[in-house]
Amino acid sequence: MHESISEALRFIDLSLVGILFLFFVGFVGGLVSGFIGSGGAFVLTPGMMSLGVPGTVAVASNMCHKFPKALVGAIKRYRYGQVDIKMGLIVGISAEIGVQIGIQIQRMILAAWGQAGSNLYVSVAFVVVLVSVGSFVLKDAVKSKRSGAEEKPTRLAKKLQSINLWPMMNFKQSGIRISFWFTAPVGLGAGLLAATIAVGGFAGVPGLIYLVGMTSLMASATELVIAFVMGLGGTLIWAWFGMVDIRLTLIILAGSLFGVQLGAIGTTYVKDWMIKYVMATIMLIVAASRGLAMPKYLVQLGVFGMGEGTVNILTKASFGLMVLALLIGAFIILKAMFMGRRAERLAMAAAEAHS
Amino acid sequence: MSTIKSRQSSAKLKALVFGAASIGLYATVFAFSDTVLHYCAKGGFYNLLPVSAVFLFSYVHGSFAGHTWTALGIEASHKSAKKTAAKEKTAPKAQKQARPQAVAG
Repeated sequence: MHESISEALRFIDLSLVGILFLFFVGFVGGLVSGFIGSGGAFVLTPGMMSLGVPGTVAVASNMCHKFPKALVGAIKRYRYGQVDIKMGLIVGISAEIGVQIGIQIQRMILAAWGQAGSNLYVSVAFVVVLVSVGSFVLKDAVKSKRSGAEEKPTRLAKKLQSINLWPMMNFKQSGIRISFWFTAPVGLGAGLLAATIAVGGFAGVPGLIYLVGMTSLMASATELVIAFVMGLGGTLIWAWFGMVDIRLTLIILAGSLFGVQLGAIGTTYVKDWMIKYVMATIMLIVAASRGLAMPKYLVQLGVFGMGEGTVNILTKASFGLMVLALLIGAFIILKAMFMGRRAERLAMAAAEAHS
Repeated sequence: MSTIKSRQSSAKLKALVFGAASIGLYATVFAFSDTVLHYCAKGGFYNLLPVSAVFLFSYVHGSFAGHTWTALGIEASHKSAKKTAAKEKTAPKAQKQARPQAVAG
């Protein structure tokens, strides 16, 4: 594959604006990933493409920055006692299988309906999955915030944990005992989604919370291990075909390694429901963004007609909304962290004054 | 408080060392970008080159980023640190209790 496209066509000349853009998006994406376990990738791929990077190189270079970022985030959150490595590795391996299934589905759709059909499939998957899962997570976050009670496993997770189906696995870190057959679908779902919309965590984190029974804090941290496993496997394949632009990867990494650690620190100041809240907000805005991109593909498939100007406006609005999703997520995280730090400092000062 | 200050000053030194190393690595890559790009995009077993490169950068630049946040006083919540330490102390007991319950379930 790599011989068919020359290096000159694959790799663009970088401008200062392009470098600053990638660094900034890397930082914000890293911040969100460190906090909710995933995110950022959905803006980086179209962002790189808008700089003139070919689609496959954008996907490959994005993936190559994702796994070291996830590794650094996972190490940071492991130090806070939030990561279940065993769960992450087991679900991560199932996710690799999900990625392969997802790629096959994509290839079949591409062969049957061409690029426009494939893009439409990706957008439909975005909207359907993100609206259904995102609204469920948001509802749950609002409920948890109102009740103020500590997070408990869902009824479904308790039921699944009680089914003694070989092979049963013990996860000491999260205190869960569950059959492999109930963790596997979470991995498959995350992998399938990662191969389709590039953000497996939107299925992985809710799956770990609602099916497996982990807390939001633990699920979002463990997702970083899953992202590492998936990202490493994917990068080895893309790099085998020579599709990684190491310059792009390293620029994004420069920003994201700052962001991911800040996001990880942020998790220590917030309540569990805040992770669900940030994740659901991003998911729903991204779903709206992809909804705006759908008419373009329907026009390309000849389903209906629309003026070129309108299509362009909708496409730009779609990308703008995606960037907005990331910025809103980052704003909520930074605000929650700032307030948490201030409250802690005040409490410490009050304690010192008393003693 | 003195512990926080000593941790911050130690982090400042480490941030400077790792920061210099990180700048050195980035400068090298971009000074020889054509060669680096050529070999990293050669495909086949050369796929280990970009993977090794990002591991190296994530260690050096990741350490720089981590120490920079610490030097700036941006650290994990003290409550959370206390909770983790308490959890580590009680963990062996909790595991002993959990095992018979799990078998019975």
